[in-house]
Amino acid sequence: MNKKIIVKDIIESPLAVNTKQGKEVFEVIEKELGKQNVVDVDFSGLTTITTAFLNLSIGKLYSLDEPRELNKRVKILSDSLTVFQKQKIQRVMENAKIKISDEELNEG
Amino acid sequence: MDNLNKAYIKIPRSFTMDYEQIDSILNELAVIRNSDVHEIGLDFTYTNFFSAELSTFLGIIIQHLQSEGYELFARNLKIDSKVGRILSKNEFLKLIMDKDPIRDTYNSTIKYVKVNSENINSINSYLENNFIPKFESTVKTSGLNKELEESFKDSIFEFSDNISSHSHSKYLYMCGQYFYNNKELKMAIADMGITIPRNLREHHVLVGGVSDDEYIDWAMQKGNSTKGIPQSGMGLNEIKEAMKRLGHMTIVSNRGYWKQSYDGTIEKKLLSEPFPGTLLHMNILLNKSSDYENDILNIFENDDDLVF
Repeated sequence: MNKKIIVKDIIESPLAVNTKQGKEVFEVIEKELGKQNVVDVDFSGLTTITTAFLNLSIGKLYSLDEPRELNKRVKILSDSLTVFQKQKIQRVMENAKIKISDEELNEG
Repeated sequence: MDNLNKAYIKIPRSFTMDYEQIDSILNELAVIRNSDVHEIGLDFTYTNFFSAELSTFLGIIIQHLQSEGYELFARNLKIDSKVGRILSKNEFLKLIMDKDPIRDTYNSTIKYVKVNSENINSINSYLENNFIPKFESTVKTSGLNKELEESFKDSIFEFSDNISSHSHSKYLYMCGQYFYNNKELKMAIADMGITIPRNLREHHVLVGGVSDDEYIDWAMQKGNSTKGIPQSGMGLNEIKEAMKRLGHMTIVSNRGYWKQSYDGTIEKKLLSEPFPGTLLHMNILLNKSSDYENDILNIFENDDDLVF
């Protein structure tokens, strides 16, 4: 089943700017994935989004599953983002991927 | 020092964010703290220009000294002088003088404020009321001003989260000034926390005798963080990248002075004495906005889907 989550409603603010808020959103996504739902993440109505928020809300998803699985189960609604916001999410994803592969290399 | 109980910090003739002036004030401060005085005067005798956003820099020093029991006062600062008027309008003088502020009739002054670093609504209101209108009135290209505003606000919130996460400082201190003639919007935001070099030293992120300016340089690079989780280390780098579009930026933290100019040149220097916190200074060159108009417009063509 598809479950749409609206970030602005979870953090009750148009400002998605800190790690605490990021953690709140991550926990909601994690819970829905636990119920075997496909999660649509809607960023509409957010005026400011920082990497501090995105690292925890989106970047941390890489700790839950492989990218291939995440692509099947989490959809970030691009239309709900400004171009700058979308680019920022892309940078956060890249950073998380690089860091996780560095960690795996170090562990290996 | 002119008697046993009083000493003076000479405010430079033209006080801007240049290394020499920041360093000279910190030097004088160190001399005073090694002496046996109780009262410290900020000496404005020769000051004929004070870039008002640097109220943040001086404000941190004043509040640090006050917390150590020193009494602070202003020397030779006439309220009807150019410098006196501007520091009265932005309410900086309330820190050291019992005077009502002068009203700002030109709407170029931005108040010196102290806010809780977790109070995102207060920070947002301060930015929306004082800074965003300057972007809107100066950058006329539709869409471009919105992108610049977004970069600016994102940078401030990246910094404030960094303060909450790393510095153990509860408050942010902010001030700004708009220079109408050359269309420069300046802002200084700071904390009184552990500082970047001291935090990195405690976490042993680099080995050997690394100087404070090098520690700041390390913290500015993408992916470098002490948070100990993979999803981190982007905030300061995001500010650095955003400022390549906006103008000049400088960071002062403990004994480190780190500056990135609009052309991308990096200047790293060691201060003679430590600054008791971390300060981010932004000089936004609104008259240069047309330089990157094409870059901004190209960004609009990004239609890629977001893929994990």
